[in-house]
Amino acid sequence: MAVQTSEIEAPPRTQTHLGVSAKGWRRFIPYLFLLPYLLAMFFFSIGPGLYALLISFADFSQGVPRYFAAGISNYITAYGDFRFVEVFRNVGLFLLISVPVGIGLVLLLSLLLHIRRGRTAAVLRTIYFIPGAVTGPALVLLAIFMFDPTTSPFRGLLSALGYQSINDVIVPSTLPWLFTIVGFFAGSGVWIAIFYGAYESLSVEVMEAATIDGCNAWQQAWHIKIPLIRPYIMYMLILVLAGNVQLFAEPQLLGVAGGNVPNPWAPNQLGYYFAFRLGNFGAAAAVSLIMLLIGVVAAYAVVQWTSIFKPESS
Amino acid sequence: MKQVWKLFSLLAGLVLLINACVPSAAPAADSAGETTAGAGTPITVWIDTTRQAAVDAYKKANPDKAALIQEVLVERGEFPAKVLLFNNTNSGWPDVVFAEPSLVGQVSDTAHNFPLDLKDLVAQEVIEGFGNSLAPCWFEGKLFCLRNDVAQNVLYYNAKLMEEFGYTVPTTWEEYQELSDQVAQDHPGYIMGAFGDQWNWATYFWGSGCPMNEVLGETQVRINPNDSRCERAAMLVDHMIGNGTMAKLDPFDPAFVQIAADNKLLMIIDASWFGEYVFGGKEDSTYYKTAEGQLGIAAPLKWRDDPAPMTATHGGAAWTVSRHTANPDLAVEFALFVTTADDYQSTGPTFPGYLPVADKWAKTIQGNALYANDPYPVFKDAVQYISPLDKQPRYDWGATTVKFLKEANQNGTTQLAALQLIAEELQKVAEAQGYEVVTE
Repeated sequence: MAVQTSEIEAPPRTQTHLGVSAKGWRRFIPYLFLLPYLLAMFFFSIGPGLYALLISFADFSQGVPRYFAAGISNYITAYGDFRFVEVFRNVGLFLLISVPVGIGLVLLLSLLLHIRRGRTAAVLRTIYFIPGAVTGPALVLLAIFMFDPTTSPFRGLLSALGYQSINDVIVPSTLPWLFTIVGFFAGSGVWIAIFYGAYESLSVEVMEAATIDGCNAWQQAWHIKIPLIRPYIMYMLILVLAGNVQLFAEPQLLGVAGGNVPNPWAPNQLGYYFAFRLGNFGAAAAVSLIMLLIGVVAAYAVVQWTSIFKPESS
Repeated sequence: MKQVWKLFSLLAGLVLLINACVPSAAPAADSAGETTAGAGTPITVWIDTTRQAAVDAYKKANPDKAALIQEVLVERGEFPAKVLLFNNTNSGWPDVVFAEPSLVGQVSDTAHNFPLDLKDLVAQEVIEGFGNSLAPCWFEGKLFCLRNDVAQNVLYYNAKLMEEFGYTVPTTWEEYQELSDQVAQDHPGYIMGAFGDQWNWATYFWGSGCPMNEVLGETQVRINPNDSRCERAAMLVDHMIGNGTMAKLDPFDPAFVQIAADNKLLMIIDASWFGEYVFGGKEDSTYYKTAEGQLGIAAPLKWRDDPAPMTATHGGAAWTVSRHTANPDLAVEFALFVTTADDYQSTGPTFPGYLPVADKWAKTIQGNALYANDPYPVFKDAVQYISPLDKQPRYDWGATTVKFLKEANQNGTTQLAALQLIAEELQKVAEAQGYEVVTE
């Protein structure tokens, strides 16, 4: 790494009283602005990621970590566990449902809001945002009341569907759908606001031209707005995919008041189980690294295929 | 690209810096257990809100040491996890913890390595005073906890309904099943049991001596669903679910509470604390809002061919002492006080694990007009029948059991069939936790 730093090209210098060129300062300033973000990113994502990598090779059988003593045995333990395939199948099913449903509904709602702009839309945007203000675990507890046919405001609908008690609603086969519903209410408000903002930033001329050409609202949405905000959709895809792989609070808490939620259900719960039930933080780290890998690979693939982060040519 | 490398090298530098700060692998805390910082060192005691009274009683009886006891309210389910984190940082352990013996079992393996062996620190006659209740506290000849209370199951029945219907209280599981057929025929809608959670499962399967999760040693467990004692319990449950006298609900499910409130609960087998805390007889009680001598208590049931009854438990906690404590004398003295001294246990909320105090404790329940007969002799008698299965393995047998139990309830398949699925998964769970599984 030291080699890399020494390779920084030296620009022609105009000496200031501090001995640093003015140009050097100018190059430095953007990093100063970036610094808070870089620090946060390091301490809360890259740092823990590297720490996970470190302890994934540590042995915890004696209660305290012995670094590099485990070799790859933690990976064998984690990936060979009988629940490993099952939890990834569970979360895979959840992704198959939650990602398209989430993106589709967010697109639909934001488009509807944008078609009918004005006070109603502003109020509705706020309403969509409210569930997102409730933190994950609290939202799950709220959801339990919604899913319980004896307390739910939707009890009419639930009993019409043949659900008598919470034990009928919260069963393994419905779980991916229930988590999708909880996740949608938790996260959609933010994305609706972002998409709405994206429509607002679209060129007025283009929209006017479309209207003059006889484009109706639906055609405008489908042929103009959606293609133009495609980078935002891809961005949502990456973040929702990475976020949903890490599902934890929902399966951990949904079963507290009844119903049947197998534990561990999601990969994160398997990691939790390794760490806090078996005391094997190394295997837990191995599980969490695979989730990191999924997020990184998905992000890389989406970025490569869609070229959304390429600088716009002016 | 160069920018990226610059950033990366900066981060790599930071990582090295942080790793330098990570404590190098310290020897597994053996040394800490030996340190005796002396009699003046304060101790930390982990309790729940109910056990505040125990700490208060100690402080009242020992005003000179009151300042040395620092109690902390914790969610004790997190106890094993927190021990692991303390092991990682090699500091921070509590000195005395209030927890179920099953949790004590979890913190006694080599990774947790938490409890102090109390065998030589507690007088022999005191140990004997705990009787059968101490069984789950013993780990390969080491005494890792002192029992706070026992939650032996007994048979609760509605005495008024039984009299009205002209039924006799069953004494065997066979009579219980026969009565269920009678009830199903004469008084459909009346309920004689709950089968919705892991403790309901224990009620019938531990009560039958079914060798599922039978602890044979610290690393050996028996899981044999094909044992006739498992099958007879499963068939009893399936029979009663079939005739409608067994609710497929746990006893705290709002729908089950409604059954009790509607006075449709004829009987239920559950723990000794159910009388005071679930049936209650007070306005804010879960099952019975009035105390009118309606609750009868009968001894645990026995299988006709068995020599003696066997009963499950539903809770019942203990006090464990940390091997890392800097003041073991005070920690042990405190644990002994809260389990054996009259000051606390004779007025405590639950049936004392230490039997010599139990007789004095009896008065706390005998005044309740809820009971049709004196519950105390029944409770005391039942302690000796607690199933050896009460000593639970370190793995989470409940999560697996309840998953398939509920699946069978939901799909209408039998618990007998579920037993095989439970055993199949439990075997893997046990092996993942380092157990050798015996299936015969």
